[in-house]
Amino acid sequence: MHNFPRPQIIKASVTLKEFLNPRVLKLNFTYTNTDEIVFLPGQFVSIKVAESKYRSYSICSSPIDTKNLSIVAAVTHDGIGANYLRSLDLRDQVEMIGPSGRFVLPQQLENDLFFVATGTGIAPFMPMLEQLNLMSSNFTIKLLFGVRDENELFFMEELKALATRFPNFECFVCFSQNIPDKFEGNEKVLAKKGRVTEYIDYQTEGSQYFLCGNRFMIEEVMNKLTSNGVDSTRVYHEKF
Amino acid sequence: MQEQTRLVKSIFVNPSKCIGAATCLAMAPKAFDLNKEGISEVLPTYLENSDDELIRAAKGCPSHAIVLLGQDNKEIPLD
Repeated sequence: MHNFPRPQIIKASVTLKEFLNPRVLKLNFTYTNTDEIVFLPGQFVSIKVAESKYRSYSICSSPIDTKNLSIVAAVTHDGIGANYLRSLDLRDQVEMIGPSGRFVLPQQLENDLFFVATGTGIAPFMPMLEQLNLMSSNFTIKLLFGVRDENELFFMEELKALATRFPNFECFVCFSQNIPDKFEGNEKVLAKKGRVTEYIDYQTEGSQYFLCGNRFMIEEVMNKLTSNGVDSTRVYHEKF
Repeated sequence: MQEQTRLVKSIFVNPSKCIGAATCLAMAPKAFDLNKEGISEVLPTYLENSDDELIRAAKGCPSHAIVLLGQDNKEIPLD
């Protein structure tokens, strides 16, 4: 059983605001009301975006860094969370509650793991992959990362660096609309034409599947996995 | 006597909607706690939080999982 940290009120200041592509904003926060926060990779925080209004965002930064956390969010639409995050400036104070959630890795790795993400759904997988790298297991870790075209790419340098130092990790970036003529990947971060659902391995013996992103993708992948003999108890997905 | 003046009579958390964000615990700590699955549940001491605190907790839930019922057993509108 994981020892889940109890969620708490966190006050933090914005220390970085950076667009990773035309849609996706990355924000870093440093805690101001506590020295450190310990979270499990995959957990999220809920940021106060208006009076009595919270929006939840997966933590995408390393669990080793207990002084800061980072999130990514698609912010080009007109939504209460997107508008708030876009309005933030460096050194602004924010309030959040967390770390929360049970979408975390198994305590002991006993089989291959498959991660399937679309867009900013990749966020919880970044700290998970960091942790898996430190666990030094022999199991295969495969990430399918779905985007429409190269304008939606982000975290490519991080994924390539991870693939370089993490021998059992491979990543397929799936372009559902236009695959770029020149893809800046490496031998383990490869471009594929099509949707993530076309590249799923159906392993019925013990492998675990983690899904995060577009809810239609999650429903489709879950249906495909279970109809191909994968036990639904081995499929996990983030609920927001 | 005090309970008759309360707006909120009872609270329900929809477990299939709850994501375990725990915003409700922060806003109404006598009314909510997380169970062992990480899902919010209503505590028997919920009336120790004020109506205002309970309404803020319900409004603040990022997954809209909290339903408040009034003395007439009808859902209290949150917006």
